[in-house]
Amino acid sequence: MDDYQLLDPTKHASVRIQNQGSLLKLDRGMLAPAFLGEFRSLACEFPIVLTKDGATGQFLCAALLGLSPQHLSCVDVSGEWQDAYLPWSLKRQPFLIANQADPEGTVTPMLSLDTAHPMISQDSGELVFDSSGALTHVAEAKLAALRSINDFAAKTAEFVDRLVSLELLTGLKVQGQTANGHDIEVDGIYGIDEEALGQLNESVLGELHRANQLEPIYLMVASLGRISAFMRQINHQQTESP
Amino acid sequence: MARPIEHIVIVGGGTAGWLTACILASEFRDSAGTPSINVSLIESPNIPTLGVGEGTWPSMRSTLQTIGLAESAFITTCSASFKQGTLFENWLYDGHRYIHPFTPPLREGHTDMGSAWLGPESESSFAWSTCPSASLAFGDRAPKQITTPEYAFAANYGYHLDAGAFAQLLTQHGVEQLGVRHHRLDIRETLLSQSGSIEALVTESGERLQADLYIDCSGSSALMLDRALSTPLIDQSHILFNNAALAVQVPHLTEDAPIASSTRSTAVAGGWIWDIALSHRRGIGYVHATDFVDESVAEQTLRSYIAREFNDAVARAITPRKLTFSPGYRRKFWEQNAIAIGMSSGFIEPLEASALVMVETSAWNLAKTLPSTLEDMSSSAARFNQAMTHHWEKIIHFIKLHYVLSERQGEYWDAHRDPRSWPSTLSDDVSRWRRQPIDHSDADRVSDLFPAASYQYVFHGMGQPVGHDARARRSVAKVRAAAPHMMQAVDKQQRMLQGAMPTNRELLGKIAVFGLPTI
Repeated sequence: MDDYQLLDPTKHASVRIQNQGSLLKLDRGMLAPAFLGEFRSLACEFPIVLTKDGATGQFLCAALLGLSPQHLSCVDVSGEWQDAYLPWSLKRQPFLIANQADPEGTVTPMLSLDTAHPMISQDSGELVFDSSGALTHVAEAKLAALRSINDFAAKTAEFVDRLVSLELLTGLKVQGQTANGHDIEVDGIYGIDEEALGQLNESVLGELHRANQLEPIYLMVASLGRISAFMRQINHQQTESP
Repeated sequence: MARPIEHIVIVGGGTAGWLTACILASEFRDSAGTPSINVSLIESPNIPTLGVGEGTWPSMRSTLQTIGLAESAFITTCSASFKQGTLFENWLYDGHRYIHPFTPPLREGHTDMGSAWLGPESESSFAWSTCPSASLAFGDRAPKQITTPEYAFAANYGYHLDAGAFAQLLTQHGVEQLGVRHHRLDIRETLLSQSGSIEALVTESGERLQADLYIDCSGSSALMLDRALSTPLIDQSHILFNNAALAVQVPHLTEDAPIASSTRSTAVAGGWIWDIALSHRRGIGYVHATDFVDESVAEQTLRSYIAREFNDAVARAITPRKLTFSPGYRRKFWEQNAIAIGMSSGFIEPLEASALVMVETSAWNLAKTLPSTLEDMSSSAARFNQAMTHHWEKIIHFIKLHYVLSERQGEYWDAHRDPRSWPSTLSDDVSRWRRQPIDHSDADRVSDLFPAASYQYVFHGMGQPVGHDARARRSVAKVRAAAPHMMQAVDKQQRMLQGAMPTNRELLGKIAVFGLPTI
């Protein structure tokens, strides 16, 4: 169960946050939401794809973290997070912005903490507040990620809407077999339809460029090269391990 | 000199007319959308459309997709819901129920596992044992999720829809997207040429309208085929006795009332009651034979059904609309330069929702076989007539099958069981199916509307075991040996679907807000 509380130096003085690996060990999700402002950094590490929100059927941008829950590319064999770029949506955890509505219905975004989050601990990890009640560096970095999400969420949603309306999306299917014979299959992800992209006329391309939506399209296309790198990594790990 | 077919006029602005117009206009155009045939539709401003025919087959999905309608818009505009089959209640005897789902029995390789069913004495009915989506079709769960693209599915489905809203949506789509020319006029007269073909239509204001081909979608009045060309109806009332219906529309009692996944058909003394759940209301009607039931008795039967399904107050408040029809179909559907599509071509009781699928079948068949010149028309017409006659015979054969295996008491049901009222093909089939399993050769034409699975669902659903002769057969032994494995596979899929699919109401609510994704 989630338990959101407004961030409070007194109340959360002793709250500690465990490192990122602990989250991935528990959550084993293969997709992390991705936002426009981080596409450049993401594209070097992860395929940037679209996936459907299970509750609404609407498309979302996401980084594909691996080809199976057992093979997340940024987690080593022992399950620890490797020194790779961390998508904002993972980095911000366990913080979030809760919209607080007053009786008049005015909504104010408030910094909150999910105290039931698996990364929260009382005895290990980094403190959220130091002894003076100021945010620690770890907490500051997480809040910076949260602010970036806030800055780019609407632009990312517009970008997705544009891809849908231009019919630039196509289903992707990753299918393969590892060196020691395990089947790998990833379904339910979507990418740029390069043929449709190639057929866009100059005026549409110009509009995309002016809206800063052309670069992320090509970053998405280029990022798919990471899939074969993931496959090599799996095979490498399998031949290394006894 | 060859005379090209360049202009088609459709008379009638109901679902049949507009569906035909959209199908033809979407086929006869180039990739830039320029029409290669002009399609006009004449709709009388004074004749209201009948607005019945609210259940479709899965074929409607591909029809809507091909004519270019977005499924989400269609569902929202027509208050449509998902139809996964027909649920037959009390048809064998009171308290018995079975389902004819659109999803066929599970197949493994080339083996039809339907014949592996252990029979009426086994714990599970035929559909429950063989159909992976039976659990959805019996209840109120959707055949897909909000993430499933438009027209794609986890379990096969057609629709329940508001026929009036559907005709309006098709009108708008036909005129705005497909270039159909829409005229609101009354036709006073049909002029014939010396050769007996249609020369022109004369409007109330005296204007002459001419076309190369005329399509009669004017409903049971059949302005062209019957009144002008006098093509007779072949009466079918000796096989299917029903010739009247009392119909009502009842809003759901609460906003969260379940929306059934199948058309419900409940057998009663002198016919059966349909029950079709849309998102905002149910359409309910008693189809009966006036030779066996008085109208007042029929109305009482309908009210008792509504009292059971809703409450006494609702049952008292309804005002049923009476519809009558002569069961039958035309001797020819394409005569000279005129073609009947919809109720002008014939009408029989809607037990298997055959009305709209016959409109689709006729229009697609026409779209496929329409020659480029008038000179080549007679061979197309002959083929069209042959195909449509075959479909009507098969539909009547299949509907009659539902009745002849019943154990219900009473004059009406006795008359149905009397083999003198059976088409001869049905007598042959029923006795053969008692000796050997129904298989794919029972629906041997590629264009057959009913697959062999439909015969299996109804024949076995009505309590008949899978037929086998006394001799040992390797093919039968093989299927029997695989039966336990198949039952497990079916059971697993049923559980998976039951767990993963939202209710119809949940999904329809989400579609109204988010729409379905297009890929």
